[in-house]
This record gives sequence, C-alpha cells and structure tokens, in this order.
Amino acid sequence: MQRSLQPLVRLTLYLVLILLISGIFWLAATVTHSAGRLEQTFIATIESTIYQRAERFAHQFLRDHPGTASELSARLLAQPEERRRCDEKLELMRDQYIRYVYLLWLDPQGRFRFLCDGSDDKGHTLQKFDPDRPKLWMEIYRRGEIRILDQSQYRGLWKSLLFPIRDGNRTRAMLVVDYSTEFLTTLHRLISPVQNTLRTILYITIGLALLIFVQLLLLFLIRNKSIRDPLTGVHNRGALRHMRYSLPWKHYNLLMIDLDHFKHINDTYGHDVGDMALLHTVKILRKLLHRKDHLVRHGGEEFLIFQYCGKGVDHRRHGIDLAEAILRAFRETPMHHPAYGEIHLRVSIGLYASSSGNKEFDQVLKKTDLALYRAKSSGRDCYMEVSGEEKRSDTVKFDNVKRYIEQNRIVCEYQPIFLRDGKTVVKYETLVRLRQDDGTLLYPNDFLNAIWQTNTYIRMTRQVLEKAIETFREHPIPFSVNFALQDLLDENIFALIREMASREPETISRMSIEVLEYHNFTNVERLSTVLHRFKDLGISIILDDFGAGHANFLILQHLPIDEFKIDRQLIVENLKNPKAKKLLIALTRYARETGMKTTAEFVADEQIFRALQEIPVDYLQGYYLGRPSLRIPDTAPSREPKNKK
Amino acid sequence: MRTIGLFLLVPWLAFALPQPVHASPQGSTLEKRIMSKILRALTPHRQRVRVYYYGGSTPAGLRNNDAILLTSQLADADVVVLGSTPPRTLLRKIRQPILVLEYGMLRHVSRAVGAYFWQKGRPNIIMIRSRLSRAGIRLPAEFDRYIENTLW
Repeated sequence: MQRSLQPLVRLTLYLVLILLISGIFWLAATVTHSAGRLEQTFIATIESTIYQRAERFAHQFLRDHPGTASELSARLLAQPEERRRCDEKLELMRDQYIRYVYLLWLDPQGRFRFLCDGSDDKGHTLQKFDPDRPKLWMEIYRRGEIRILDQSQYRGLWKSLLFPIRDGNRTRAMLVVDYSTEFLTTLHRLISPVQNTLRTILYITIGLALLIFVQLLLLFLIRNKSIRDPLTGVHNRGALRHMRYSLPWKHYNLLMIDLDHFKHINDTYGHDVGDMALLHTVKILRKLLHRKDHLVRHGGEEFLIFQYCGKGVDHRRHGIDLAEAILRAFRETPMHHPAYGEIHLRVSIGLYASSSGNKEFDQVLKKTDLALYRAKSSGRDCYMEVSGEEKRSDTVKFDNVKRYIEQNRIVCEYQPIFLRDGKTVVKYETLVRLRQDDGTLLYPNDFLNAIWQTNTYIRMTRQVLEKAIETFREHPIPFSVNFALQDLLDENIFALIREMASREPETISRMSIEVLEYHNFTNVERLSTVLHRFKDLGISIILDDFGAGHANFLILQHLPIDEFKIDRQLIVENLKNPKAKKLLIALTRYARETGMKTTAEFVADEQIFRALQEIPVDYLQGYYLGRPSLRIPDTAPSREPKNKK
Repeated sequence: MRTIGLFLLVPWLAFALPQPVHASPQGSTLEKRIMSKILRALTPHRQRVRVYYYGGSTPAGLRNNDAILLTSQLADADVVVLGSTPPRTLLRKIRQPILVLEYGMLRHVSRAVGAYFWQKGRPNIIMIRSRLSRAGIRLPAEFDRYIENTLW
C-alpha cells in the first residue's frame, strides 16, 4: 500500500512544484504587465500634454517672433527683453515632468545654438548646444519632422520631444522638451523590490526544481542500473518490486520458467557454460516475447515472464500458447558450445493465467511457483497451470506469515503417542502453529504453502527445532518433528540439523523425523541416501500416512525406515470393512517381522480405539487418547482412555 | 538542455521592463572619458596629464583617472582645471592651458582655452579658437565641431 502510494505522492509533489512555479511566474508576469500598462498609460498621457503645449507654443512663437532665425537671434541678442519674454513663455510649459524646455536654431555651420531657454540652467543666446546624435537632430530639424527621442542614457532624462517650428517649408527653430519622469522612477523603485523578491523566489524554486530533476534523473539512472541483471541484461528482482505495484495485473499472465538440471550443467561443464546457458535461455525467451511483455530473472536459473493479454484475448489460451512455444523453442534450439558441441537445454514452466482468481502478487507468485514445482515433479520439460480452484484458494499471505515468524510467534504443541494399551505415553509428536494478531492459531495447512521453499521456511524450521530441543532437553522422552521430503533434500535444513546434533547429541538421539509429502518421489535410491545421512546423526525415520493413496511398498523395502504411521483412511475403514482389518493386520505383522514399528493415527473415539485393540499395532495417537498441548507433563502421563466420543 | 534553457529564459523575459532612467550607464565613467580626451588633446606630448585643479570638490572626471595625475603644485601641472573663478593672484601665476568647468567662467577667465560642462543633462564642450591659438594649442580634427570663433 505504502509503495503503491509512492507514485501518487511523487505526482502530487510535482504538481505542487509546478503550481508554485506557475503561481510565482503568474504573479511576476502580472506585476510586470501591470507596471508596463501603467507606464504606457502614463507616457501616453504625458506625451499628449507635452505635444499640445509644444504646438501651442509654436503657434505663438510664429505669431510673436516674425522674421528668419538669424534675424530673431540678432534681435534676441540685442534686446534682452524679447529673450526674457521668450524664456517666460517656455517656462510656462514646464511642470513636474518637463525638466528642460528650450528653443534651438541650426546655424549655417550646422551647429545648434540656443535662442531661448525656459530651463533653470539657461543657455546663453547663440551658445552652442551639443546634442548626443547631431546628425539625427539636424535631419529632424531640416525635414521638420516631429520626433520623440529616447534620452535615457543621460542621467535624469528620459525622452526628448523635438518639435521643429515650421514657417512654410522652412524650419525657423526647434523646440526641445526634455522630460524626465520622476513618477516612473518612483514606480520602478516601488516595483523593483517586489520583482527582485519574486525573481529570487522564482529562481530558487526553479533551482530546486532543477535539483529535484537532476536527482530524479540520477535516481532513474541508478535505479535503471540496479534493476538490470548484469549477466543477461533482463530485469532482476529489484525491477520486480517495482512491477508488482505498477503493472495492471488483470492484463497479464505470469509464467515462471526454470532451467532444468541447471546445477548439473554447472557441475558438468563449469560456471562459464552455466552463464552461457542463462544467456541462451534469455535469447530464446526474448525472441518469443512481444513488446508489452516483461522478462525478469527471478534468481538463479528462474525467470518470470509477464505476458501481456490485450482486450478480448483468452488469457488461458494465450498463456498456454506461449508456454508451449517456449518448450518447443528449447527443444528445437540447442546451445552450441565451441568445446562441448550441442548442449540441449530444457525448461519447466508454471503458468498463472490472469483472467480470473486472486490478483495479490505474492499469492500469484506463490501459486505459480507451486505449479512450476508440479511441473518439475512431473518429469520436467513441461508446463503446469495454476488451476481455477488453486486460484480461488485463500491462503494466508506470505508477508503475514513472514512477520509472525520474524516476531517469533511460532507455537509448538506436543501430542502424546501411546502404547497400544492407550495408557502409557512413549513419545510426543511436535506440531507447529502460528499465533495470529487476534490470538488465534494458524495450522500448517494454512501457512506452509505461503512460505514453501523460501528462507522464511528455513527460519521457521530452525525455530521449531530449537523449541522442540529446548522442550525435550528437560523431558527425557523421545519426540518427533515433521518434515516434508523436500525439506530433507534441502542442504540448508540438513546443515541445520547436523549443527544441532553436534550441539545437543543426547536430545537429537531421541528425535525422530516424520517424513511427509513423499508419495510422488520415485527416486528411491536418492531418498535412501538422504535418509541415511539423518540416520547417521542418530535420528530415527518415521514415514507418515502410509497405507493409502499412493502407498509404495518398495519404499518400505529399500529405505532405512524405523517406523511408519498408518494412514487415517485405513484406520477409519477398519471399522466397517473386514478387508481393511486384514490389511492392517498384514501391514503391522510385516512391520514387526522387518523390525519396524507402527503407529495408528486418528484414534478419535472409543470405537476406533476398541477396534484397534484387535490389530497388533505398536503405538496409538489421536484426540481420544491425548490432544496436543503446549506443555509436556513433568512425568509422562499414564492414563485411562476417556469414555467419550 | 534546451528545455532547461527555455525554462530559465521565459521567467527572465517576464521581468524585462524597460531600463529605468536612474539606472542607465552614466556618470563618472563617461565623465572620465571625456575629461581624459580633452586634457590629452590639450597636452598631446604627455602620456599622463598632470592636472592642477582649483575649485570646490574634485569632479568625478578627475578622480581615480588613469590618464590624469592630480598635482597640488601649480608649477608641476601640464593643465589647470578651474571649477570656480580663482583669485587674480593665482590666475596671474598660471602659465599652463586652462580648462574651465562652467560656460560662464569663459567670460571671466580670459585665458581659459575652453570649457567642459554639463548642461540640460548632457555634456558640452566649447573651445575658443583665438585662445587656443594664443596658447599654441592645435587640437585634433575630431574637436573641430567644438571649436567656436566667438564666445557668445
């Protein structure tokens, strides 16, 4: 849940950041735009006023000062009164915005000279005046063109209105109005800090955004590197963590592919050839995948394919087609090795067609893993599909089981096993339970599948063994612990028991291993070797549930078995079927003659108990005689059977 | 990269208001340049013009100017710059070319060869031809537009 929220949180963060940047940008743009509008309005108003004043002055000037400019200049020089009157008229034009207003004459030598001046720093009559761009000013003067020039390069000035005063086709003088806009200065002074602040915030935000962008880019690059398997280049388990939350499961099938006899390839040809085999596998798989399919190296020689199924596609058919295509491709495409020639690779496949059933990733993975396991058990080079019933089955979530085990919530119960008199306890069977959050107990059928063939399973086995050893260290009585046959084949579990045997030889010598789930195992020789290893540690071997289903009598002959437990079906059948009784008698006699002990399980009531009295079975076990309990009584109980059902 | 560039450029453009009047490139740098040009033209043989200044505070054009060396000894100076009208005793001692910083002073200091001053927010240069000739100064052609025959 937390992981699935991550993209949403990230998206929200980006949105907030984008909104923040957009907000600041909008604010800045609005301030700038408003200031610009204000400025334009202001300029338009002031320029219109100045223009009207200049026009009025020009009209008056032509009326009051007749004659040519040179005549006028001579008059102005000679008659200071006329100059004063001219200056006064110009002064009238001034206001808070107009800084300088003066009248220029362009003499025959091309120099501008003052005629009148309404400014504070008055120019002398005919004093030379140096404009910044003399040629442009002269052109304006000669052409009689009214122009506004930008003068902002000069301190205190902003613009100049050049207003040639024309008398017919001839320019007699040029009125110059320099206006400075204190208002604009104030406006800028007012807006600048706001703009600067906004600019700073914006740049900081953009900087942060860039920083985040760069970090995300780096993260992406690192992540991309970390989710690729360096050998094959396909996605690894890291990618799987991401995919499990991002893939739309309803559109995908899951295929779990395991390279058959990979250990044998490694052991026979070496690890380089093993690597080649993995690359060859990836090459074949890639050829068969479509663009939207995903290939993941799940670990070792195990690969996952997330097969995309578009709308209207029959998921099951699509998955089976791919599984068959993969098997065919491996059969038809052997691996070529320069030294060893052709090496034929085979794969086993577990298929989970996703169109219906449970979509919890761990459950899907686990169930597909079990299907793969079935394919392996069925002779390999085939595929097995997760059935509809398996999909619907509600097993306990792996995460929960893992958490219970990590929190040491394993509870061991001990069920007594009696002599056939039903009174004397001869040993105990250790039974594992998990205590759930609500205090109720989970039974092995509820959780073992979820952790099967995982490190959690090994961890649980270790804890169960430790608890049993701790218990029976103080109670010197034989005891048994249940193991699936696959457990006994697991080197980790053997190493664990061997280590315990070296630590606690006395306790382990009283321990028996009760072998479960052995029915489908056909390699008796291998099984014998495995069991002998445990026997060598001083551990007795008990076969569980013998006598019904796939009972294989060869096993009894060839395996180092000390005892077997008779299957409950036979025990129940004994009540009503005389043939079953005869079979039971034959079985128990055979066991006695070959030095094996027998236990009758499922003694659930008095009727079963009485019926078993006629069978020469060695031990009895069942709820009628003794239920599993958390503690072992200090003295082994010797009891009368209960008179109840 | 282009996206990042645009990302930075767009907000910058948003702030692109016209440059305010008071912030335009101005002042001492321009003044120094003009002052150096005039003084070098008056004393073409000098690499660094030694200037004796009289009048209120030293103008920006003369301060920290690489082309000008301010001297407190009148005798050491190549050019005399007057910010205000000096006493007659001092005027009599001056043998060097005189540059005044007000137009009006050209009338009072008859030996001033020219004036450099700010009027209507703009720099103005006026050189008087007769006074330049009297001082034996020949200005480069680029000063022709500033040379006046008459002091109006």
